[in-house]
Amino acid sequence: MPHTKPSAPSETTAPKDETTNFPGQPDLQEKITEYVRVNHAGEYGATYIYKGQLAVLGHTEIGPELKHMLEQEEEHHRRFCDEVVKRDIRPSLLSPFWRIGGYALGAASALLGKEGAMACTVAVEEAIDEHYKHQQDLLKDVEEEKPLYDLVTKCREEELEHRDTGLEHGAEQAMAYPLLYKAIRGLSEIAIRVAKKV
Amino acid sequence: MTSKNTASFPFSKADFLAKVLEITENQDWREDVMVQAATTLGEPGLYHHYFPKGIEDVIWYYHDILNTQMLEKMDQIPFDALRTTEKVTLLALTRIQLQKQHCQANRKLLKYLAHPTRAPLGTRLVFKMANTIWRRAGDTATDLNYYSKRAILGTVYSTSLVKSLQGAEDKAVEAFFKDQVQTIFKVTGVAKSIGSTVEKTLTSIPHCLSLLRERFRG
Repeated sequence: MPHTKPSAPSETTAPKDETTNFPGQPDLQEKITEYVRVNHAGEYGATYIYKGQLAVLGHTEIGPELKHMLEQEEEHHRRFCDEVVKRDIRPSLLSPFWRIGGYALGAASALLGKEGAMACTVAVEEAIDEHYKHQQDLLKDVEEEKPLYDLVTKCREEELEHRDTGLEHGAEQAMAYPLLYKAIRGLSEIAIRVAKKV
Repeated sequence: MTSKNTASFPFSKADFLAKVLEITENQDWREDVMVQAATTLGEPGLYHHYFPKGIEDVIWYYHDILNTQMLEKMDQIPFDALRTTEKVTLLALTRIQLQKQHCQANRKLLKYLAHPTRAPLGTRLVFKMANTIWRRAGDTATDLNYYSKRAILGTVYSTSLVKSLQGAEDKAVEAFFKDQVQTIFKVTGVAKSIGSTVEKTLTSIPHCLSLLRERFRG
């Protein structure tokens, strides 16, 4: 049997420098990986929320506004798709769930009326805003991650625009707004936590 | 022992792996194989430095080398001119050939990984291999296709590898691999068209509901 000596690859199994983190604490790259995965999944879910809302309210006066927000979410999703491929990050395994869940949430909230759809937008966008803010805090001093910081900043600004649009279009007049807001925001936060890992 | 300066070490990680592969041509993969390899190379304690998690680290290192060598071989041919399925097939068959160079060691490695407690390790190794192949072939999937492509390739690769290590001719392994890939893609094509029909039907429901709602209101 010929015995060929393997060429030396990168020292992938070398022990990590453990002085920078406590045991079990994720390092910066792990955090960035999780953030990119969850941003990608979140933007994917958001596009389907707006698609669900458009399926119900597309022909009403709020239709163009929803279409504009959908286009922005699609652009965010496309940018995070590029990041996932460029960084070779495993996307969320639950992407079909985010797609179906997003669409169902968007359609169900829109069936409550324009105000219901806008209440959903406000709750989701505020959860995302907080999530993006954490990322900005993490990335602001990391010089080599400036492009990612800029992308997160752009996305956050546009998500806040969406929230303001929701408030301008009567989100707070939705039926049982405080309950609806808390339920949807809670769901969004759970989804963010799950998508970080799975 | 200094942790970073490896210049004075009597052997490298690659030397150590070569010795482990030599020993496992005749013996099962076990922790004591590492002691044997390190002792033969003249420094019994050094393997702890290179492979702190023991034999599992050695296996990861070996698979990283296989992935690296597989990719390096593609640099010697006009790889980018090939179609995606040709790229995937070529990469997979190249890697099978690399594993076949240490036929007995790899048969014993499959036996080691077949133990139920090592299923997660085996799955991760296969997933990393499949991911390396798909990414080199230019795959940009970021949805569930990302997983289905890797799962399909991992399954076909593993069965083809077993066939190859059992002594099948290279031509037979190639034909088997291509046949399996074609069959699976046919099945997934049908599943995809059923899925899109179901999705179209389901996504029309909210629109119908909104029309009904307006009619009752009006």
